Amino acid sequence: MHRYLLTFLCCVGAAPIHAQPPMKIDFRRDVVPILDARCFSCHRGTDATASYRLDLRAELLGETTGKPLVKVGDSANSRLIHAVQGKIPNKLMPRKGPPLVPAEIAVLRAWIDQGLAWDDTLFPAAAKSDHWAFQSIRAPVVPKVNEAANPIDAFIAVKHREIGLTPAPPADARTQLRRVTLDLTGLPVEASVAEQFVSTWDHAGARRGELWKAQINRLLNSPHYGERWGRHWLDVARFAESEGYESNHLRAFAWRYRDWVVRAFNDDMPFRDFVRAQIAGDEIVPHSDDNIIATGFLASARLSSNEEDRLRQRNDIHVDIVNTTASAFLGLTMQCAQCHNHKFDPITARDYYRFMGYFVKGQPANLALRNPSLWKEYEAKNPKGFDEALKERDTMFALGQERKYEEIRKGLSPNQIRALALPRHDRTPDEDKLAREADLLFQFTAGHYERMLNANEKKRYDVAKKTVAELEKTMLEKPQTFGYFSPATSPHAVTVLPMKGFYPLPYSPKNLAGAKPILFEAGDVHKPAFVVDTGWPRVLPSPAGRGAGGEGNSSRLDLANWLTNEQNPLTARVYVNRVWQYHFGRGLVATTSDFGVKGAPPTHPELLDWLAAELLRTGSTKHIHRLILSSNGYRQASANDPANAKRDPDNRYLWRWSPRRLEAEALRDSWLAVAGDLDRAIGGPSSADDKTTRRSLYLLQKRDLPAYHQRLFDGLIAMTESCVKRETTTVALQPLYLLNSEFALARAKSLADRIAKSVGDDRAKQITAVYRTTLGREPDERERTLGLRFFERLASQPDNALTQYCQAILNLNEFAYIE
Amino acid sequence: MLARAGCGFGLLALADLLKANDARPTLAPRPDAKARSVIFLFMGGGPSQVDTFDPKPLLTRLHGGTVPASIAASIPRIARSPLNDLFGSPYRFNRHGQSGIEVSEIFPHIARHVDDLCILRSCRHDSPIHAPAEYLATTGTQIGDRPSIGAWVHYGLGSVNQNLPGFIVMKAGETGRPVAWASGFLPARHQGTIVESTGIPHASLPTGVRVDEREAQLDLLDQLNRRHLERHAGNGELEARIRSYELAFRMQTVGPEAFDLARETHETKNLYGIGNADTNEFGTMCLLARRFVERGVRFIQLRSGGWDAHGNLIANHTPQALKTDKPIAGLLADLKRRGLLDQTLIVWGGEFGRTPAAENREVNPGRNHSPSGYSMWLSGGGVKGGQVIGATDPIGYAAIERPIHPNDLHATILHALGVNQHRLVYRHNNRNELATVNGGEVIGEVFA
Repeated sequence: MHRYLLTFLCCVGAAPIHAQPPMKIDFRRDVVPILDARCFSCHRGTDATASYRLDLRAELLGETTGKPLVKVGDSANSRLIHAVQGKIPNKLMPRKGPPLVPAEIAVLRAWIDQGLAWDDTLFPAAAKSDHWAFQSIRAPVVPKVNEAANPIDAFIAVKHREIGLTPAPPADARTQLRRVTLDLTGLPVEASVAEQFVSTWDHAGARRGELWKAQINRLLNSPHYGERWGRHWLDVARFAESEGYESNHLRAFAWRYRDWVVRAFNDDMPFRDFVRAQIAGDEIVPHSDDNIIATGFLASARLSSNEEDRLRQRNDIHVDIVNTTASAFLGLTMQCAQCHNHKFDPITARDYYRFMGYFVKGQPANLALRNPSLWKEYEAKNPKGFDEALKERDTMFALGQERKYEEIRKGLSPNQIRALALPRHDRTPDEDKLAREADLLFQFTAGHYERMLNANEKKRYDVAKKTVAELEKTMLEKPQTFGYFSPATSPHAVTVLPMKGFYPLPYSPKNLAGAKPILFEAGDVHKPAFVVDTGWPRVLPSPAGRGAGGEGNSSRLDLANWLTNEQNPLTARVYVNRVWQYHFGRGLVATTSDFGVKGAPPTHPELLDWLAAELLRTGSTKHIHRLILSSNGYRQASANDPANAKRDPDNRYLWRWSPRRLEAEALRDSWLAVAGDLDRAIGGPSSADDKTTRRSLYLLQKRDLPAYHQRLFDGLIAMTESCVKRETTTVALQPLYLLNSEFALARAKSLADRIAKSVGDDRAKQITAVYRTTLGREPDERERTLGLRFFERLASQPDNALTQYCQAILNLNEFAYIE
Repeated sequence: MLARAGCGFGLLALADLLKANDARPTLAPRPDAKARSVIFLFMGGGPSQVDTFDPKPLLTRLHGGTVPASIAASIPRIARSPLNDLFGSPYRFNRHGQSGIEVSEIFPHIARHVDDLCILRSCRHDSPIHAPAEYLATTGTQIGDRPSIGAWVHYGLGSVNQNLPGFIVMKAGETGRPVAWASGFLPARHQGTIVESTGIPHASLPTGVRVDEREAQLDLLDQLNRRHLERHAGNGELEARIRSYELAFRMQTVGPEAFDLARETHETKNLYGIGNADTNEFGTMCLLARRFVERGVRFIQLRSGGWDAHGNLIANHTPQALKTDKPIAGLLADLKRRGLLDQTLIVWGGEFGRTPAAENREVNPGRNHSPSGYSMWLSGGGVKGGQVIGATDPIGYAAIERPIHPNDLHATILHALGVNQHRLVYRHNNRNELATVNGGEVIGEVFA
């Protein structure tokens, strides 16, 4: 109060020199005109081009950003005043036009000093948005369109009429079958299946619809379906089997999450369960290994075990998880709000850290499983004496570490010791800095702790360490998975097993239980602003009777329940839109992970909502597949049409099929499959050797260092963020690989052997067999002639010719594209 | 290629058609820009500034002592920044050239070119750990998920030569961190291609396959693909893929010529130290880099790993310097006499420098990582040589005059090539991305 008076007096005292400050500020009369004329062109509304919004009182107070612009009652120490006075280097506001005149500044100062009066009717506090994607999903009525049997076609037909497009005729039966087989399983259709299908098709008449459905069901029931569609989800989940960063240690059991995803798709797991298990599997009652494994979604975050700054180490994981979760399930570019309020969407930095609140009480870890048969297997092979040696080693190590810490503690100042003892959110900024600097002093590699042991202890330690290392070489590791676990919010006692690395992520149930979300100014973990409550972005609807998170509503299960609640406007839309994208190559919303105001508007908004409502109603992904695959829209030919192309050059409104290249995995798997080399075993640990003939899904997903073909054909490389959509780039190194690599040569040879074995030496028969095997169709006359001519040209070297021929066909555009 | 665009494929096809072309530029460079190619000599592990390009007599005088309080005040308190056990450089510094700039005795050959070097003595960032620091140096942030500067340059300017990848990486003495040449969110065609001194991956005809067989195979493939294309008139992606086979064939037939060092004279090879056990590997890389530059390759990253001298500085830095000194000097001399230095920007440096304080003092003293103040140098490509920019404190610990962040260096590399950092934009996840999205300003004094 005293300070307030002083400032006010100063202000009055200064008045005669500069300008006459109003005695009593009226917000609407005095302040709004200044803001309106000089500030709001950049600093107002959700489209604010600058970081700060001056039309939100909470933002002026720093509640949304952690960085107050005003100090109520103390204009002399308010950043807003410093900015208009030019006291902040390079930040004289406003940027446009002349600086504010002293009278205007005096008004602003008096406004602040008199309590920052506000008018909620002019500038309401609550975040509201009329953006389409933030409104609830209402199942629209399917339009009545005569020729459309399938609701999807009805929605598409309406748009066709609006725009004046004529849909392409259906593709021929072989093309449809090849398309849906590659699309659902990532493998080409087998020759015999294609033959049988086409021969029945030709005589099926009215029964064709049934035949098609039977094929869809056959493919959806194939275990290869889950491998293909699981891989799509793993892209979204930025799944990887190593930590990333410098040390990039392998996560030897991360594959269990990959297998869980494959199973979830194969079993058509209800959508709600699919989301709940991945976000909160450790909190779901009763305990199940599968639910623990599903938390691999969160745990796929990168982790630097060589990071000496423990705050940054942990915060980087939280940031990764917030960004990925918001992107994968909500289609929000929440990452923009880590350092400042979102520039376009009504999401504040505060929202960002509130959302982080769901995750700060847990962490990624090696989690023991309970499956008795795995433990039986482990114990049968567990050598005697291991546990004892391990205990001895760790006890001795802890002894050395504690001595080293004691030594360090002696060198600390009393202030540092006090600061270290305080929980982070109770420290002042200065205390936090002190604590952080002190914390760094504790970072040593193992050798430093070992040196603290006396000769006898060191000997015991060395013996135990050697024993452990020896036994570890041959023994199995304990049954475990790499998942996410919170001892504070999970009702289950899950054993956390050790992690690797120079500075493994510390695991302390006490610290996790006490962890609170903190808003970091400008996203800097070293600039804590204040503690926030936990919750989802305030702009999004809350189910009846519940607030946006908050007390008693802040476990990950609460988050998962909100995500899958039918009042959530985003999760179902975003999910069905992804399914649509993987079928057609483009989503109904083209920006699959940006449903914000700058995202692409949906081409067929009613169709999107209808599909989302179907998902919410049935919970079945396979149901969505069936709807899409049985539509005419999906079964069209890819033929061009100049009139259509003129109206809709990008085929956004689906007047034909847009061919697209197979992804890195499907291309490699297709080569293996038609060569007869594919090892079709499902699941299990990944292979670090790219010479394996297993599906590409099972190649080790080491961050930054995936298999060569994966790098080359636009597969995932860094695996650092949720992959929205694969690129298709075409470079000359790709054909070099498909012509000269050991992989390509071996497949061509296998295919040639397979063909020769089945049809013998007759070149004409060989040509037919190669076409059937690779493309699922007969060669036409011209293709036969060109083939025969090729064999004539190589007549002097007949032995190799079939292999060369096979390799040429495997390199065809037709083989590499889903048509 | 454009001739083919006239054969019935409309405008729709053109954009996609160009995708197959590594040479597609995104923007036109500023006309007065001199540099056309970049050779980034990346010294992995972090060479010590006070033993290479930043002489510190005071450090020698304070050897064994602690950092004076006046200097300590400006040293950032980050991990691995001890203030005791100062360690004077065991190497002598001598003045060279017209400029009289001092260079450590471990670089006798490079020192002769000091009048062509612009030494940056005030490089600085805040990560003392190899990987994040290298990601900063090569991609601009510590996270490691953004495109490397080479990928940005390739995206911006493309490459003139279609028979060679436009962004080439060669490595000596390390496995390297792929992030340093990754394309991040840029399309994969902009990532660096790792080549061995023997050539491009998979560019040689496999044993057992004859040229006439390959020709017959590619002819068949081309005929069938073109027929297929008739059914998909206007599909540029398919056309691009057909074209990629033509490019691949050329890479296979013409490309290897770039790697054929038999065409170089004995004198030239000597210049690079080829044939000498110490310098052969890096010398070969440097000579190949010159040949790539001659052929229009846009960005070349040559990596010499192993500068991480924690223990026994002398046993590390002396041989590390020996392996690279003559090859780099040879590269500078050879480019210059061929009139290529002016159009080639050379960048030398590591992910950080090293502490003026000793590590492992009792046994064999070395130095720990230090990003607070370290040296890099630039040459060629319009750079004004014979000058020093910025300064560290009197013991070489922290940059105190004109600090230069890796983002500034990236802006400067783009500027040398005539690319305005604010105009090189890529749309990713519905947001415009820049190479220097986290800041960075052109170091104007660098240029003549």
